Amino acid sequence: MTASADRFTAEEVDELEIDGQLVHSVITLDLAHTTTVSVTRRLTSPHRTQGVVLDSSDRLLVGGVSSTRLVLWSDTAPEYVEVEALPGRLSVWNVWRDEIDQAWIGWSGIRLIPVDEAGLILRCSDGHPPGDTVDIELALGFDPPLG
Amino acid sequence: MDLDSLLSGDRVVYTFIMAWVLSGLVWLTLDWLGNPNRGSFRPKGDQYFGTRRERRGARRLKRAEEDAAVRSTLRDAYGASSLRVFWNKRREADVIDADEMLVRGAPQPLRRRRWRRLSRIPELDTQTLPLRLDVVLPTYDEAHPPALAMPLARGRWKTGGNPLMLNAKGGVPTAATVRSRVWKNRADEFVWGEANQARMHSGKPPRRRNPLDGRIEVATVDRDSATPNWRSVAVDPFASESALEQ
Repeated sequence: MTASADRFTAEEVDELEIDGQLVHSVITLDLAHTTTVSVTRRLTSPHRTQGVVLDSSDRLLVGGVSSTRLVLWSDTAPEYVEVEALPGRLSVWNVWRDEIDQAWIGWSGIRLIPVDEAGLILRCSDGHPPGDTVDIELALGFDPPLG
Repeated sequence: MDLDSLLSGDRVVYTFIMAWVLSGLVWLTLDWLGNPNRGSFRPKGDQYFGTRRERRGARRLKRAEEDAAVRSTLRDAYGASSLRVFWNKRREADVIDADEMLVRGAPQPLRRRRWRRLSRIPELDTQTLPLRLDVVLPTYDEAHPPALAMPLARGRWKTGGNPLMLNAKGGVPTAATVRSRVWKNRADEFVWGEANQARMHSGKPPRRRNPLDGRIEVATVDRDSATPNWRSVAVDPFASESALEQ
């Protein structure tokens, strides 16, 4: 079975249908207003450190740290984090740490479960096979809700 | 005047003589013009090159040397110089100069080597030192022994070996060689995906597609630590301060 990242690269797409489910390499959202994005880590694989990257076209603020790209690791970040995102594009994808920080390779992918306009659930698989496992599950909340 | 009149009667004799005289004059003229050395003949040993003044000085010095040599020979033979008749103060001064040039000075006696007396260095006073010795020279701590740098292995590298391994002659591998070894060592890790594993088996770096801009990114290897990594600028806001500084 071909790894999902190989298919993302070969077919030059950001989402694929695998076993009847839509798998994304990245989740991209458009924020019309300054939004407080809450990131709740609901599940984490014990095999290796998992994380999530938030990338914005503008600034992201967490506590006293401001950057366009933030990473929240399961071994350092608390289970619940609020990120203030300025209007613009917001991209989210999962990462993991073998000996190095990895993303977008192997069997990695994100299965998206929309809850409502104010929330999403991301079930992410890291690059290690098999690809249908959930290595980190995140719940994203938006205040104000997405339009 | 035609040729018949010149070669008739007595005139043929005068014509013959004049022809030889004119030929001789022409020959002498050409020889004088073609010979640059118009001075008196000097053997090669007596020829000096330089200005007129230098040549004259060299000849004067040589005459003086010859005079001195002859004078000393005659003096040794007869007890008195036979050149006394032609002797004058100027020649005497020249001879003295020539003698001074010819006679070598008496050898200097060898210097005896002096041995210096050993002096005692004063005791080291740590209080007056400008630097603190405990900072400059740390003492051995059993709890934290110094890490000894293990020498890198040498020889023919095989898959699974240290990517920084030296070659048989002790040469340091190039950056490209280290990169190739790193990827070959990790080619059996399934996490890279089949396509990347095929590349890594041949020493090529793995690739991934960045979905943000659609570009293909290639993994890199740190030259010193031989660890692979992806170029990323994500900031961990919860990392320790020391990690953030790194």
